Amino acid sequence: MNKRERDRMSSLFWMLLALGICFGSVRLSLGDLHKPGPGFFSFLAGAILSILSFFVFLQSFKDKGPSEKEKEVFFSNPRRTLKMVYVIIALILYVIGMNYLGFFFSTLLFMGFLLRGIDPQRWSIVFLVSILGAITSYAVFQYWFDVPLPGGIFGF
Amino acid sequence: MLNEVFYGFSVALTFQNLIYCFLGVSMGTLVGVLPGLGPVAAMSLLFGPTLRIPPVSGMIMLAGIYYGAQYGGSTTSILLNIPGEASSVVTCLDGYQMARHGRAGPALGISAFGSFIGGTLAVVGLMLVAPPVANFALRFGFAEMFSLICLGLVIISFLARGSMLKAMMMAALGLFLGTIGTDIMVGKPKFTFGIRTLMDGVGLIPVAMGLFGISEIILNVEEGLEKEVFKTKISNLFPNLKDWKDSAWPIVRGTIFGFFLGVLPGGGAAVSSFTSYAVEKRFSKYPEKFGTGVIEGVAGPETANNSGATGAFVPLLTLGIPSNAVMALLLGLLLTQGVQVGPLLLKQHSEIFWGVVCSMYIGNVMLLVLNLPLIGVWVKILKVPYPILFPLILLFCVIGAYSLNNDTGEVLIMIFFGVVGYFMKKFDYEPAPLLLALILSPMMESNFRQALLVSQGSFLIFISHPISAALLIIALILLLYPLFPWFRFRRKLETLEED
Repeated sequence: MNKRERDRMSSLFWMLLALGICFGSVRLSLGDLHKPGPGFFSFLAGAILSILSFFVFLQSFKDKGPSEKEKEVFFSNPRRTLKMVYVIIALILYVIGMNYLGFFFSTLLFMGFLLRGIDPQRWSIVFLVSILGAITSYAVFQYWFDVPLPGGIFGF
Repeated sequence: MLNEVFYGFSVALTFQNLIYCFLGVSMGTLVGVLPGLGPVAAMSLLFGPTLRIPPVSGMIMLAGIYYGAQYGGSTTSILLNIPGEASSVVTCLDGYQMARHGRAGPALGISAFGSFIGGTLAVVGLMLVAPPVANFALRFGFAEMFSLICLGLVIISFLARGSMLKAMMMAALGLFLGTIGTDIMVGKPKFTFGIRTLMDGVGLIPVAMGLFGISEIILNVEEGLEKEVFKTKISNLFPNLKDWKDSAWPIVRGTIFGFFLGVLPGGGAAVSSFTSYAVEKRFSKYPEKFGTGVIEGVAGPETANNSGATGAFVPLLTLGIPSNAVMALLLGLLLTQGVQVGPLLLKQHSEIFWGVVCSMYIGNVMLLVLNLPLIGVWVKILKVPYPILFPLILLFCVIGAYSLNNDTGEVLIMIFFGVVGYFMKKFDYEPAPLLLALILSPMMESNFRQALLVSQGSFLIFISHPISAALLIIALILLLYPLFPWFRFRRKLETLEED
């Protein structure tokens, strides 16, 4: 995918989003020019976004045809991209799991997975960093900064 | 003014504030040294805890992270050819070459000294410039504030590194995101989709951490960040007489250019350092030598980035307008603590203004002391493999987002914007305009609506007030400026066709 194709794709996405914003704003009520309603400002923002993304869309056709040099593979290393997806999934599961398992244990599992599952480290490093990371962060935020971290079923 | 300076030092020199200053600059240096974590992400991380301390202490610590990161960023640029911060990108060009020629010590040394001189002189500039600007801004009404914010957003887009159109799109998106929440006039939820966390609006911090922190980390995971510390004995950190002679004028120019560029909306450390490099190359008798390891290519930009970082405080502390993403976070801190920002900050909260300004003097001294003797420590930290570092950074990001409202919903918003930020980088959209527009959106809407109330619905208020009109005209010129070469080319083409 070269730069022009990326611009075309992204600008279409933003145009659709902007239209959705404008539609939602109308439903909120625009009011009138002398007494703007709750949807007025978001409608303005959506309108500006849609116009600008339209210009970007047009601009993507204006340039010369793609040369081989310009073409880039979007996901140049699918294996690494998959690891990145694992990190995002792990983050989401960690956040959800915190409410059930509590901060400490969910942190241990989260850190352990990242240290072993993404770019595998030695088990000694995995245990050491996970345990130290969980203990230190718990101590610093719970006791020093007074942040009430989720306790879950274990209470901590 | 001398009384105010003494007052500022009396605030900055309390034991508590000295500790927070030290914590801020140390963390800033660490963040600057570590690639993959910038000052915005680091400040966002500590935002929650700073709500539990007095606003002046919170400002001192967070400000310390910002200008501290400028010192730290040069270390990785010089030793690894990887910029720790955007403002240290140009330092890679000559700094790394100096290291390759066995001159890592003088490069690191002049970088630290230049940063100190630039930062300290810029604080003097801040003290001299800010009060008259704040006095002038007392004349600003709702129309002027609205027009100033418009101009600020246009300048940020104008100075964006990539496409101005795309930067403006992100600003428009940020304006929309700022409207999400409960409407203060009619109490109606706007674009909340029934999500409780969104009822108070989209938080600045989860968005900042997502766009600048999470997205950077997942990009690094995808790219498989590898680095090799340049294996050279770092000795003789003090530049010799010739180094000082060659660096003198770059330091002077870097201080002046850096400060005034930092003051501009969209300005700050990064813009200042890029401009300084270009200026030094222009002024040099041997421009062809730039990129091969000339000390001017390190001294100028490193001075400018610290000077620019300090200059960026002027619009924030005098007008309440953040000039970059970092200032947006500081503004967020002040607003959350209930501090009235704008021209009245100097009068109503002088302890915040003078306390922060004087703490910068102290912070710059601490940084000089930290950076030179502790270079060896920073180099050791750089050797920690990224696969061990990034889980720790993610952990602190999660806790940082959670600690804002003790709500896991904020963390999910952060992750969402992390994914958004990833795709923004892939598709070449800058996140900074979005973040600035997000924080300015409520102010913009409020000033807009109040201006219309005052004028009884007439839009002429924005052009009948001279200051407001001038600001809007400048914004219009900047918006139309990119069209000018096209316009000139068309006229030339038309002339040729006629011939």
